[in-house]
Amino acid sequence: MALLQISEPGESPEPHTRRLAVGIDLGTTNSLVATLRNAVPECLPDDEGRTMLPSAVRYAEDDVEVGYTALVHRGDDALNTITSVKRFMGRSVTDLRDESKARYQFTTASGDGKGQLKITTRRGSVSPIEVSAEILRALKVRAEESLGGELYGAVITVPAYFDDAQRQATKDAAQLAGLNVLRLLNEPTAAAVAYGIDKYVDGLDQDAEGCYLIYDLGGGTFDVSILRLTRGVFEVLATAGDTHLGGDDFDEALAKHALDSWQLTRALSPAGQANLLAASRAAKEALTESEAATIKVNWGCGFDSSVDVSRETFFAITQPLVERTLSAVKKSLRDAKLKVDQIDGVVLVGGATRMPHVRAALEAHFGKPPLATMNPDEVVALGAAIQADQLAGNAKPGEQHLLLDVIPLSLGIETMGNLVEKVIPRNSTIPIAKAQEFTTFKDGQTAMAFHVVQGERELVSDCRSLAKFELRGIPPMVAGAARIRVTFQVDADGLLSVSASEVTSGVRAEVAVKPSYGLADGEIASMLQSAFTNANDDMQARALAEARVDAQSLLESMHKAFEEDRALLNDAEHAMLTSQMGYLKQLAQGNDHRAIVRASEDLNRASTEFAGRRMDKAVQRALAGKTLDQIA
Amino acid sequence: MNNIVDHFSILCVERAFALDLDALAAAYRDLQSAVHPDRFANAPDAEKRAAMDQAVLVNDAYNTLRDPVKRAMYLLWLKDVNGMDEKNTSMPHDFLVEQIEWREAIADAKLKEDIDRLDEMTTELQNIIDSMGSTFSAAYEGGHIATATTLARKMRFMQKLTEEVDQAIAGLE
Repeated sequence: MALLQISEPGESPEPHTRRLAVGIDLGTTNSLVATLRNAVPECLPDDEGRTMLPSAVRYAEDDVEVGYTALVHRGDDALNTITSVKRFMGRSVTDLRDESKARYQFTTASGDGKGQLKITTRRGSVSPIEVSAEILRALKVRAEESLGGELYGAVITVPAYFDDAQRQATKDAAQLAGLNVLRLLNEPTAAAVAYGIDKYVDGLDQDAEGCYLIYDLGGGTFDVSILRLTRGVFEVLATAGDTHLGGDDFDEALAKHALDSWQLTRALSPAGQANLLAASRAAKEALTESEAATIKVNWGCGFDSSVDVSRETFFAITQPLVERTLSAVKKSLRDAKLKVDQIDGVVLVGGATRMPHVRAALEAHFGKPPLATMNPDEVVALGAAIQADQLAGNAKPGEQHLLLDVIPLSLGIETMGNLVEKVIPRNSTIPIAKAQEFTTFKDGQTAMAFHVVQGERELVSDCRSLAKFELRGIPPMVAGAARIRVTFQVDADGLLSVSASEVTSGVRAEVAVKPSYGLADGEIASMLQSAFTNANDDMQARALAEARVDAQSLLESMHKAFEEDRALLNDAEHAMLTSQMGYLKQLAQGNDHRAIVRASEDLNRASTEFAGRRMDKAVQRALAGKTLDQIA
Repeated sequence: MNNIVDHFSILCVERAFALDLDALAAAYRDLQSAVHPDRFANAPDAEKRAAMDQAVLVNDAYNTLRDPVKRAMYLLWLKDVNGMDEKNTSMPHDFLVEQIEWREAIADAKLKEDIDRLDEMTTELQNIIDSMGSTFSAAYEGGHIATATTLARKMRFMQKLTEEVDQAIAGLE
């Protein structure tokens, strides 16, 4: 047997160090970063003590400005100051609403207006992914300075109702900002975690169990999720929403009201539009506390307009928006098969839920006041921080909770006649995999095209197109004889991958669904490259550092697995794995990052069987204490 | 676990239509607590993949068993009967007439924008599915598979009506 390096019992080979992990709420209007300190989640403030970073990026002459600095010139440099970029994530020019179209100059890479849109600025055209990456990078810097070290990873939140293209775009942005994405987490689910509803909700019994509805009205998106809480398990029963409805729309309704009263059809200039929206937002916020407010806009050249708005008027002109949120609430209740009185509490999330008529509408619908004990602006980031801490491996086993989330929109495939065949219905718990069989319809057909779509409508043209791909090399057979199996797999981030194979011959094709709306891998690589220009050495060093960290963490988990489950391996298997670990450890002290990566991959492959056995054991353990005779 | 792992054995409940749904949900949560990919976020790739596969299996089993129609179809499938077979859709004449009447009633309520009536229909349909379920259970346990198959298909028709009612309500709200 090879000479083995074995640590003393009870002494872990690598001392357990706490990994720096953060939760990031990448919002339409504001973004936040939070972390867990001494078991308490808290948002990290900037130098001036502000936790919120406006989600604004300005492409100035010689610099890229983010946050408050970017907003300074929103009025006089509107075309180069990008706000509410979240609304453009995973979207094409043809998806844009008219109000948005007027704000910037858009282009599209693919010419037909259907690819990911880009925004023209003085520093060239930028994609929403790049703009979002600037915001994420600023938060990463803030976190690393505040925590005094490099981040291990981050949980990034997304609206529950984001489709696959929007999720993929968010993950790409995080990757571009140099963040290790531990998980994409749905915003309402994050809020539920922060509320720790199973433990701490004010006015409820300790360890209260039951069904909660999370009402999340953010700057630009609206989500509602219904969760059932049972002893640390957060199970999402249904989710509904509208990715084009948020606090911004209330601003726009006020702005329209102002323009009408001034008998103008539209704002005088992009700068005027920006000023008008800012004034409308200020009035909206004032109306939460006061009975009346004034919208006042300076159009430049000494010309200005103003109008007084009463709370009553504001409520009346925005009531249709509140009604839209309520119809999503009703839809989610039907999907969860619950009645209004079966909801134990309604939790408010998002700054826009401060509006009194929103709260009143919910109270009227549910017959009890909504819960708002936490700051609705911060609650999502705080929940993400708790989840990030757990995913980074910092939480103790007894303190772990579990999130079981769902996919918000059905996934399907185009069949003949522009119809959609649903493969995975909405509100299915993830991760999930489903296979569907198709066949050829012509004799000797050797290729088949697939079109993957997302949405609830029956016609392909009414759903979002996610990807098109082809399976080639099908052996010629008579029509109807080939068996083409298409498998959809949605992972725990809610991201889809699709593969197709012909069952009798084994011909395969696979796509990760991110072609037209997300970035191709090559594109990300080239952006990363340009971000590290003239720094080839840096990249080498970075690659080496990453390979070492990965190897280290693999070795740690293998040691831990040995401690727990040595008994699942026979001596030969144990010796084999141990010697591979020794080899990897040796390589990790050297400078060849490729060799380290290769050895890590080898070790991963070699331990597949062991992993399977450990998983079986975990299953058995979970069932222990149950009637085991039923399983046999 | 032995070689034949079906949805019932995965979730540790007896193979029968009549299920303790609370026990089913509890077993589901316990299993996911053990195998969910979040538990393996820092594990080697091999364990991550294994966790993903297991979590998918557990979700699939739970989704099938918690829904009465899917559960009935699955029980038939375990007896090599494909209740969803589209070549075999002949249903009793009076049942089809009843279906047409339901559809007319839904269309009528929709036209009158009568959400209350639609809500009532949801409850009525649910009661019908429940009572068909009990009859299915008896037929299945008694080995009357042909009868059970017809019942399962009837349940599926009823569930489709429920979905139509849901859509009608959604359209009105």
